[in-house]
Amino acid sequence: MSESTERSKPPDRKGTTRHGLNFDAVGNEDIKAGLPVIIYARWILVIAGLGLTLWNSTSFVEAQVSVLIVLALAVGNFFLQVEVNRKRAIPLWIVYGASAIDIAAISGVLALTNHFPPSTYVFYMPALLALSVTFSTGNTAKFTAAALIGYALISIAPINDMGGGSVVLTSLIVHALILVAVPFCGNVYWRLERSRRVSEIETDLVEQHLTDNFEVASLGDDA
Amino acid sequence: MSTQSINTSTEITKREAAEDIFYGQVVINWARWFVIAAGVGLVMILTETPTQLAIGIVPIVGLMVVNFYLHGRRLAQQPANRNLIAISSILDLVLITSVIAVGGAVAEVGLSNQFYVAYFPVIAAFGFVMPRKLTVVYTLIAMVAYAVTTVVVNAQIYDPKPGIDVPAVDLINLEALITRLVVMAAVGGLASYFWRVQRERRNAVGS
Repeated sequence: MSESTERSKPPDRKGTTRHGLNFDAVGNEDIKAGLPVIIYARWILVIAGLGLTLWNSTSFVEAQVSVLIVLALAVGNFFLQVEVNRKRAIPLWIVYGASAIDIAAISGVLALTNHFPPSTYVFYMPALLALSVTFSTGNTAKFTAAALIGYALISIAPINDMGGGSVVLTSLIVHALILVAVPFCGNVYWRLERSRRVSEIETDLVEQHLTDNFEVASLGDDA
Repeated sequence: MSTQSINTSTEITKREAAEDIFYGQVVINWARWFVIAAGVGLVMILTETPTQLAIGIVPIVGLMVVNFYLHGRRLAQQPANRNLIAISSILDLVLITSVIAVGGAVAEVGLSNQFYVAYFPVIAAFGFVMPRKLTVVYTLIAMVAYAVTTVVVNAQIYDPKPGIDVPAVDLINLEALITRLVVMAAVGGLASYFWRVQRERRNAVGS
């Protein structure tokens, strides 16, 4: 009876429950596996950002604000690093929030420099790459869109000051395209790996199921 | 017994590498489509005569043909092997570096040329697919190619002062170059690190 009820169930459209295993858990495991990438990317941002600020800042206020941002990022990242090393669970909102702060911090420093093309634009790359291999496609798209919109808005003022022109326009288009390209490629890879892992889990479960059935059948024959 | 187990382990590693390339090469294909799109945008906006357009678009069309072939093979479930992927990825670097060296206008050469950003998706995609050693080599090739192009070909990094034989180093340009090189290395490193994480996770599932 229960078997027939089970069989009459509609197919699971999301595909989250196959072979009795809830693949929703894979999502959180993905974040757990990708979190060190985000943390390392943030350390790169902190070290390179601090070096860049101390090396060559055009104004004292800009340097002060940049150093404060970088130090705040370092403190937050230290907390995350320690939690990961201690293998303690980190609430999802902290992980998402920290990534949002990364994007906001890079955009903030870009806005402070008020220069086009900005030398700090490249820091979007490791940050977006890291979150694209950690978060789902929808969330990666949201972060990428936020970075893209932020960058476009920040670029308007310096481009206006420069008087525009085809060279500047081309630079902006190329920057925007690559800002999308890096997280897109990262997330394509994330999806590929996820599907490969799910297939491996399914294969394992089928093998286990067959082995269990074989053992039960053998015991039945013996009896 | 031990020899057999070593052989088995080597075979598993080889199979894993082959599978990584089999499944992952589509990421490289996608990265190349973005580079092609950026190149088309660059040529379309910055060229002013039909001759300039023709000269600019030919290498991009060539790269498109390569990518049609490779992406088509992948979609037909006949993906390219490691050597073919490595050669096509080197072609990507050659194209990007050539655009940076030649440029589309006087202001768009060397360090001022913003096409350097095209290195990032290409390096990331390569790092996702290829083993760590190859990724390190590939990233280093990209970094050296970019540094040499900016320093030797364009020489914008130097700011010669009149009457002084030794050129002074322009700190702003040097800072920009170093930042870009650091981030190129970071992108390659992060992609390769994640590649290793994924391989470990798959192995954990298998065991």
